[in-house]
Amino acid sequence: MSLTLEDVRRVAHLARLNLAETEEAAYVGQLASILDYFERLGAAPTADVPPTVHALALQDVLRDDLSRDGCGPGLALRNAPSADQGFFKVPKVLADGGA
Amino acid sequence: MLTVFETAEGVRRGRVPAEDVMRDCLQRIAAAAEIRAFLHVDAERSLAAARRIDEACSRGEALGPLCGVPIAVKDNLCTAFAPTTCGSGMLAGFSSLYDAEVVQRLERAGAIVVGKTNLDEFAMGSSTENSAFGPTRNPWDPERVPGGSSGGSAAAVAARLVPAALGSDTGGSIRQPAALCGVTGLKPGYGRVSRFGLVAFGSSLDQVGPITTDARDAALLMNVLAGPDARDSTSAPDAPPDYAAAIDAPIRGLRIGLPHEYFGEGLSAEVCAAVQGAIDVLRSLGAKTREIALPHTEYAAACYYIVAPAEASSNLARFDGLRYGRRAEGADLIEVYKASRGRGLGAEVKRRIMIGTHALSSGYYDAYYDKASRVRTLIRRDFERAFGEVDVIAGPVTPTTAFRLGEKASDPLAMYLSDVYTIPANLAGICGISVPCGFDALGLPIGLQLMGPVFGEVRLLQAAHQFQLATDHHRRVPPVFPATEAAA
Repeated sequence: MSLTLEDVRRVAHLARLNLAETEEAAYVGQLASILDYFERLGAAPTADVPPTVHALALQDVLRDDLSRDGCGPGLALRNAPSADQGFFKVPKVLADGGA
Repeated sequence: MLTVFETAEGVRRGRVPAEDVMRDCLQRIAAAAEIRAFLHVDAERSLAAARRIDEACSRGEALGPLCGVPIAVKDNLCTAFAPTTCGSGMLAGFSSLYDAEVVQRLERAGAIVVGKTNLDEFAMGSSTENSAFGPTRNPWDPERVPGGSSGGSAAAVAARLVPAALGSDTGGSIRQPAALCGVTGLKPGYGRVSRFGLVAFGSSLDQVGPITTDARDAALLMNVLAGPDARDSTSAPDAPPDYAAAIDAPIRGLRIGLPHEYFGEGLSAEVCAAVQGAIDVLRSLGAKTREIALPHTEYAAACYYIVAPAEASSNLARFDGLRYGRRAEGADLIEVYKASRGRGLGAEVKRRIMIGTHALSSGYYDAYYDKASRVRTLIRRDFERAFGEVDVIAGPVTPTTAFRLGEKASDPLAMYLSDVYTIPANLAGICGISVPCGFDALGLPIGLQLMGPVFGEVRLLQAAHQFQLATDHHRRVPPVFPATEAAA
């Protein structure tokens, strides 16, 4: 299956990835050959076969609902690229004037 | 270098000071720096831990089953006392708030986590070339790859820098590097070992396991690693067996299946011959072999390279530069995400996120992810049917021996297909082990793969142990790293 530069840019946006122009160009060909390889799955007889999404058939694993010590804000912020007054500092989410 | 078994025995009986073992280990790691097996080594902490064990020993206190054993840990397992980078520029400087459950279990058992080993970024790769901190080299030939993604752990054990290491296996990342480095690597059944603190790649496929020089040591580690963990809701609730106690059982009458799909086109003649020779040895030990069919094997790689990237694209969404990791500047929040991820993540990780995002995106989900999930059922059923007839399945681990650095770097699909024999076990959740079974004409190691039902690790370890009692491939060490005994 063919893949266009537009396809690569669309997927990169969905994946929240900035790609350099050289990366975009490389991925057009590489992803196309990988998607071509996936075409072989079309021959697998799956009409009445349910999907497997997990290797184990475990259900509703529960543990006791007990309080435990957390790590506290100081430790939680240890790796923060930007922090202020005990909070993670992030770029503005809403545009000026609210939305 | 002593084995895990010998080290723990020697330390417990007071014959070998843990501090001497650790000094020897640290010296060997420093002398082998050029193979870049380690990303981080904590000499001071390791020596202090060794001295504490010696003091406890001299006071006559009870010591754990792995007392004084230096162990290397793949750098996608969280440690609060050492950096956790996953081989990614995104996590350079990251310091985990907690230790992975397996790290806690090892240290409670008296083992000493000496350092963190190199890997393909976020465990995505088959050569350890995808590390942001440079590739690990194969101790048998520094111009060749050690395999991956647990290449640092496999190289460290192969060069006898440590007696044991932990790896993680999502599509072969323990077994494949173990084969290419000539060491023993076990991928337990899915859910046998806790994933708490393992940085997630493909959550329905990932499993932590030991890389050691022999099966006895793997059993000793499994006794400590295996078992349910309340902090991992996918860990199996069943109590694990005593692997170490069970390992000496003979394998007379063991039914071994030989899938013809694993011996066809693409398998190198030398690997095929060594694996056939190993099967002859198992027969001579009383095992019964028969041909079996795993008819959907031809779909496994395509299935895996949809399922694993799909799960990865979801799991790696957390690396957005907000709470940890590298943050880049951007005009708004979306641009901060894009710039942080575009700059912090490497080419293969981005490629897999792209594949996974595409496979899950509206209009393509049915053709890719849903189809692959149904094919996964066919592959799982192949194994269920086979394990109705045989106890263990034998075959090669890899199509070839170690390839050259850079050889497959520009052809991602060729790199993916180096995992064709290891991927099916992850899709089905079953266990598999790689056991050294010979060398090619260049002196590069070859691995025999044994696969068993989901929680059939005991049978694999018994078969591997009997094989290793009858052979000495696992005792051979790379010529540039001759094994030396710890000062006793």
